[in-house]
Amino acid sequence: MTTTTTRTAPQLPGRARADELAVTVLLGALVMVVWPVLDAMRGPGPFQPVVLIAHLAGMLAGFGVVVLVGLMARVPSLERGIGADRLARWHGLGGRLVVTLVVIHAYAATAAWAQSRQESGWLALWHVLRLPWLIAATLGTAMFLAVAVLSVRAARRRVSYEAWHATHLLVYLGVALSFVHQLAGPDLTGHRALQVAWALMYTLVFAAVLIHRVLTPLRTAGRHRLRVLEVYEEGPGVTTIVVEGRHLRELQAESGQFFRWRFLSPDTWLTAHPFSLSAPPTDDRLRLTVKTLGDGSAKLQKVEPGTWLLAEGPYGAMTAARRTRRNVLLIAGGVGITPMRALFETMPLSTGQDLLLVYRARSESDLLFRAELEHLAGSRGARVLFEFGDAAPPLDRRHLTRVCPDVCERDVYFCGPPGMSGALRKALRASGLPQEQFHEERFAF
Amino acid sequence: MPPFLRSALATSDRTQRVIVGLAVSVALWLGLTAPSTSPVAGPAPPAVVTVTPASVSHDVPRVGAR
Repeated sequence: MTTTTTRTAPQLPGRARADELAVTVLLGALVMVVWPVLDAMRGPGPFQPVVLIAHLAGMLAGFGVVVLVGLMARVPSLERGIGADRLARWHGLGGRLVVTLVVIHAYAATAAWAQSRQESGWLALWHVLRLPWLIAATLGTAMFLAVAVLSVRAARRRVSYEAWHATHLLVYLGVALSFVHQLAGPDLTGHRALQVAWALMYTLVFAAVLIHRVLTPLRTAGRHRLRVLEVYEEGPGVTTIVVEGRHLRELQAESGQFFRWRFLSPDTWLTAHPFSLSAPPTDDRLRLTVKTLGDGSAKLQKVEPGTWLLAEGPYGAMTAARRTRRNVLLIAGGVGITPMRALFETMPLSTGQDLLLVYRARSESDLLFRAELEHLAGSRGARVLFEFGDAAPPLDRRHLTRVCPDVCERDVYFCGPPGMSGALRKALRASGLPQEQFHEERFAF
Repeated sequence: MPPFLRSALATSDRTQRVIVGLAVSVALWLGLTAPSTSPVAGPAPPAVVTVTPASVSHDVPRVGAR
């Protein structure tokens, strides 16, 4: 007799809403502003604007770091409700803001010191740096600046994803180096409860990182035993990897979602790459399709069957759960077809409803999954339209309303390159499609 | 507390409870042992004594006055 271990699928976390997150962050920021102002008003000395600026910028930067780490902690409710792409964009914007605040804080604090002691700027800087924990905090700031410089678009293009990612991890060290300076800052000292609360904010956000970025993937690996089953060429420079595992339904992955895959081979184990499922997940199979875009994805073309892997996820909010209308238009560009291919198979379709997939590629030979898509269209009563080569008309309002006259009455799902995204957004705005009916996952992290 | 914050630290099993418990303990230790005065404030600037005409006593008898 054999026994099998079955586990009820864990209850899915709720989907966080963007407004809920924004209100929480703004309320936190408000506290960071109000506290130094109250402190300045209570203080015995005369009001010094430059001192207040130093305090405000320091408190906001310290809080901002927690928000930035939290956005990237892979908290399931945020990933499912808001989407990894939007979280990454907010993280990028927030990162610039926090680095600016850190620089303002450093400058204003030094200026305040120089003013109060009537010293030159350089002498004040020398004195400030000799204060306890200031050298460590300055090193931390230097690490933030290094990451910020590397993340500037022009620099980012010249650096591989792997190098950029490795440098980004320096931020954790930077945070640790500057932490004691924060805790011993004049806004918190003398207020034991505030110091505990501040420390709690940091340790809890790092606990979330540990749980969701380390513990969960390790557990997934142990429970699901993922390994590469099959690797085959899907098209020019495009490879499909079929992964086998156990109890995969427990992951509750959906079409349109993606995982961060870490293949445990000598060449690839250091970095996890985000790739969408290119077919609906089953209890023992996951499928992803990878196009060679950089060093990491090029190495994945040569991954061997039998290779063990870790998969973090599922992530992404571009699922059928976002649908609000009866009819659906899926639009894919290039390798952006991968999540659309999975959605095309599983998007609920009742009698009288219409599902149309418009798939644009550079040339006919670049079309992926052509036979699968035609088969699915035939079996589901859905429609697929291939557009490729120079003959493909521009993606504007005229073309869109010609291929799909009721576009404004549909949910529109899109995945494709940034240029196509821009053109489509413009065309959809011109057509009058309400924003809440447009669902897009951007993969340019 | 918003639901997404609760779910971020959901203590659904023992390992997660241990991690969150450790985080709280470390925060308490850090917060309770943190400096109570800020070294950033530095030494107080030298006191400047401002002498105003009002602070000068005119009651001091002049040398040689009778």
